Amino acid sequence: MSELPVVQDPGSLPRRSPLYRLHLATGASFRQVEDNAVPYLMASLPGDTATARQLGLVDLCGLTKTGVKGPGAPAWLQQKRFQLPAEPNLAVLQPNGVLVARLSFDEFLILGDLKGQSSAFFDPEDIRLLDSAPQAYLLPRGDSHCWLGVVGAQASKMLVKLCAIDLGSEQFPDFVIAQTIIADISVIVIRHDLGLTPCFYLLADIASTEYLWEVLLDAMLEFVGGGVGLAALHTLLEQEPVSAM
Amino acid sequence: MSNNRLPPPYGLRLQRQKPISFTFDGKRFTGYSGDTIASALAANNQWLLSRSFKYHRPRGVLTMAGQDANTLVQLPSNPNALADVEKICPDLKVSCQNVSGSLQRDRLSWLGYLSRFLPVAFYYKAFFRPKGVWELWARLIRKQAGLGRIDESLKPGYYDKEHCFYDVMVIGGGPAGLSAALTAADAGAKVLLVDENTELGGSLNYTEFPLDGLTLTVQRQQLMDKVNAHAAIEVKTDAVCNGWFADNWLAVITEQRLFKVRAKQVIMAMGSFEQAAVFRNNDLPGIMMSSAALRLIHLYAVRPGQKAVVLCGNWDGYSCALALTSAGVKVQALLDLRERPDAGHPFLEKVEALGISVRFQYQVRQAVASRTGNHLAAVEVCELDSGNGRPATASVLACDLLVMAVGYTPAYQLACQAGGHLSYDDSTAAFVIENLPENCFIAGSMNAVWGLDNVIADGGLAAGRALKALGQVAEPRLASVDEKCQSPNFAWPIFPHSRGKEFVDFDEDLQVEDIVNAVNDGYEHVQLVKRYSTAGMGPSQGRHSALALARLVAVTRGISVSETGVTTARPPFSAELLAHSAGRVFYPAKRSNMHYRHIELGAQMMQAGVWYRPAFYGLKRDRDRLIQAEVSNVRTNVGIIDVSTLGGIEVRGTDAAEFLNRMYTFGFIKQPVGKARYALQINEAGVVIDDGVACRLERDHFYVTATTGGVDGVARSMLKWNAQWRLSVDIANVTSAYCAINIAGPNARRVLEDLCQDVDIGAEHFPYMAVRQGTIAGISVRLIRVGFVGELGYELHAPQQYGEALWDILMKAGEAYGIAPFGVEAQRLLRLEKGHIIVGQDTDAMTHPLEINMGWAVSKVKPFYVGIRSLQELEKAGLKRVLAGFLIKDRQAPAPLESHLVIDKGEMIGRVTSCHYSATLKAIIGLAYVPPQRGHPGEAISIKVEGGVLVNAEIVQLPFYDPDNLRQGL
Repeated sequence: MSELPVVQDPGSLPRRSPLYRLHLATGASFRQVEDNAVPYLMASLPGDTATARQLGLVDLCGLTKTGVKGPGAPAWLQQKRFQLPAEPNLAVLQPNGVLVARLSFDEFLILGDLKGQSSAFFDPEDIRLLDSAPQAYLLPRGDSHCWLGVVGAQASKMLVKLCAIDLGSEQFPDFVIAQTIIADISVIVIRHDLGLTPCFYLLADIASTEYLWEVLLDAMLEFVGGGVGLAALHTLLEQEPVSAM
Repeated sequence: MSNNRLPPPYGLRLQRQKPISFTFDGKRFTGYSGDTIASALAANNQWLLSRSFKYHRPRGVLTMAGQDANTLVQLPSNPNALADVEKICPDLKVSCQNVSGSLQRDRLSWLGYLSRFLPVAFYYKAFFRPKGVWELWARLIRKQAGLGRIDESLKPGYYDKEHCFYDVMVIGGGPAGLSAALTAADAGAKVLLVDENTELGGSLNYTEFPLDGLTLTVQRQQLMDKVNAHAAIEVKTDAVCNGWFADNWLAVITEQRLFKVRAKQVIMAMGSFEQAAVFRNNDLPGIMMSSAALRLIHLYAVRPGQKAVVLCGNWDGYSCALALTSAGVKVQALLDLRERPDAGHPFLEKVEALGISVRFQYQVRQAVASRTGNHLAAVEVCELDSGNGRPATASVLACDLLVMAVGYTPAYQLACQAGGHLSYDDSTAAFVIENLPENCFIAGSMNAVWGLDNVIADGGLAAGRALKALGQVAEPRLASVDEKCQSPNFAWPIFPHSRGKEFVDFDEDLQVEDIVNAVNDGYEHVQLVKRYSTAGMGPSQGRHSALALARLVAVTRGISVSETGVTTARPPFSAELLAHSAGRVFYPAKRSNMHYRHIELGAQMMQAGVWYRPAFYGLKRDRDRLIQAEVSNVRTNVGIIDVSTLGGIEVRGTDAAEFLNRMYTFGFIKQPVGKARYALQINEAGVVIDDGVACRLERDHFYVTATTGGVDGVARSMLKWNAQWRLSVDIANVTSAYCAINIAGPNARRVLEDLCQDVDIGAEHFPYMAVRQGTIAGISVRLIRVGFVGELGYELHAPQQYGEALWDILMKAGEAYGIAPFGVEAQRLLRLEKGHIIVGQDTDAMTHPLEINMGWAVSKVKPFYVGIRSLQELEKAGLKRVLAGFLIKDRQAPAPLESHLVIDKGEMIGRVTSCHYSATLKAIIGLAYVPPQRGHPGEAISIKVEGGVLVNAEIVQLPFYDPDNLRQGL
């Protein structure tokens, strides 16, 4: 079981995913990550996990994420002992489950681990030093982008209805990134398989979260996919551990 | 069932255990599951399907492949359905279209008798004299134009799109396509095989190849089994590849989905279209292609007639005669346009052995209609080359079926869309496709290869070439193609008749004479003939007319067909629904984190670009009153508005101030930390394109706001300019990262006082246009003192996901002061009272700062900013117009709307940009462009409002409200 604390009403926390009302309406249960909440179970764990194996959509907006940008960003991040992808549009999984995605030569997106344990990427002193670091800037990615996960064997088959990129495992293997358009909006797609189960992270303008969620659910209908909670992802991780972890 | 239905094993597509009842023109028919409308009707002896477009001639089955306009029928929700491919379903209601009266007795069929008065392109030469008569004709022509009826009550279905990616895409599931797909997949390629038919097999499903190597059934089954079992081949049937676009992007349409296919290599094996012979009355029901007769027999178990005559110029006619005989059709005669071969031929021997009379060098002179005029009753035949006069050897053969086998045209459309060139080979009397682009190949009869074994080998060859292009080191072993296989095309199956009605183009009722006259009218080039005569412009897009058209133009001009050329093929290959192109309709929308709080408060939401914003709070019927109340609450108390849509851009780096100094018209170098400054952006032409405020948070850190609709453009322009300037700055569009709330009104400070513990918000320490960073209930906020609405106000910018919580905190804290939300409509009125412009509403594509009294926002001392040179020139040229405030004192006067004109002596001298009734000022106020000399306070202007009414207004000094700016500086 997750060590994350249970939260009954995400609306009681100061930080709120754009989707928390939708999840509440469908009877989801939540766990707290920092001052936000993530939908932990949409139905039952076996139900969510079975859905996730085929095609699930999960709201990860409550997990932490940030960004660092600027010509000095690679050096600064390496100083902080982050392993960086060698080139843009690749991601590297850190030993603690944090994912570092390189969006360009000098722009990085950092996604917290799915367990919700890596709440703070940098301590306050780091941030203070960042202000004086040569040409390295923190980006408010925690709030600028939503973070959704499309998981399951049918994930790439569903996504090609909305996206012109070949997301098959041959052309788009684990840890590859595409900065593309999905359903007419800009989306960063990062492949991060959960063991043997394909998983794509979608990061889009946070104000478009509800739109993107609904479009994805609609596209998933023919695959009998649906929303799942974070617990299903934990189960997939535990049952089919990722080799890098 | 009628006796036209053949017993099994005929009827590959039929499920005889599933009878289906449907109606055609109100009459009930029964067919089987798998039947098309046309096959089910034919089984019931209903051969008449439609009336032709121009002369309303009776038309029936021609191709049985959905390639002609003869079978267009009306379905309840779909006009112009092709009856020869549209499957029947229970209780389907089918009706004829383009009919006056009944299908059997069309009242407009007399138009055919007027054909000599309706020559080619007559509509270009008629209807325009005397002057004004066109209006009368237009009504009549409009009534006759078009085919079918649109169901305006139809609810759109669910159509979708999907992207696909393959190494090799094979179009056409006939023998060549099957062979190509297998060869490519065996070599490891990921293959998509697409076929428009229900099943794979193509011509193998209906054509008899008795003289080819393996028996047809074995050959077909072997190929199908291998393809279906191959893991690397994905098969899509009932799927039409409707267009080729650059870089092998192909559109494949299935029932309710458009597949956007990207293929590294494309192999087109789409077969050929059989061509009609051209003779008098060649369009009568009962006259069809030999392939159509074979499809009826083998696919649908329908006997195509009782007594048949075969007209042929190749051995396919013999094959068809054998199939007809096997199906119980009495073949009266086989007319072979060719000379009798010197040596015997197996087909000839077989046919003669069955007692079928074979007449060499014989033609059909004309077809003769039945008593009703709606079906073939006989053909008048004669020796070839006997001229247009009645030949002595003419004879009449009674028949209800005439099959034509005189040649083929390759299915060239997709190949030509890809850049292939269609040329004519005079030696084979056939079109050939050449000059295909890289990564695109053709195979089978489309590649002018004939004979089953040859076609299969050619499919393999095409795949080999595709594999080589994919980088396969070793080409697979391939069978060679027998080059000697004869072309099935007869060079001149055209037999003009002195009384005409020998149709070249069935869609448009074009006769031989029409084409000849078009050339003689001076439209010699085949492209001009097409446009002048409309040949090839009907639903079948020249599939059955292009070859005959080229031949006729060539002969009329006295040149070869190869010199004549052909017309252009463009997508789509076949008719498609707009719904396929549209697919799922996406309406991207953005919502702030507080969106549902507005809904809960009863907001009427409006869309501002892609954002949802509250227009006002309350019922629509109370709109005006509610807006004025919201305004009043801001003016007298305190209001709160969600301004999260406001653009936000972080500009950081040692050159940040210098960068803004160049981007905006004001000076920013000396801007103190903790201060905000109005930022006006103009483009290189000096035109105002955006505005906002630049907040200096740190020495090297600015947070710049921009308009909702303009922020993306502003961020782009910043990146563009700095790509040239190479200043040390980082530019990040953080619009969605921050929510924003404006709390405004004389009590705004009181609301914040208790909430904001770490910022002294007193007037002295937090003056107008100051910026602070602090927290409210633990939420980090950037506080900016702004005065857009003309009152004491604070904009609070906080991380987006805290938006709802921040809203709740402010609303709760404001309860004691009667805080109330206000919407966009009230905000617009508030800023209008204050005389503040909205870029995009009060500016246009020509507006420069001096016109809108923004000279104060333009630095006079900076050496450079974007647009400085143009603005200097504009200043020198003098003002042509100014944006002035106007006031209408007459409370009964109708309020002008945006873009209503300012009129002077009947001439337009300006236009209104904003206008609203202000309860605060108890008058209608607005902004309008007027000539500079008319923009002085006290000038009277007239505004033409709805209904042409002129309303008098007076130019007044801006702002309308609080001219000394005392309130926003409280």
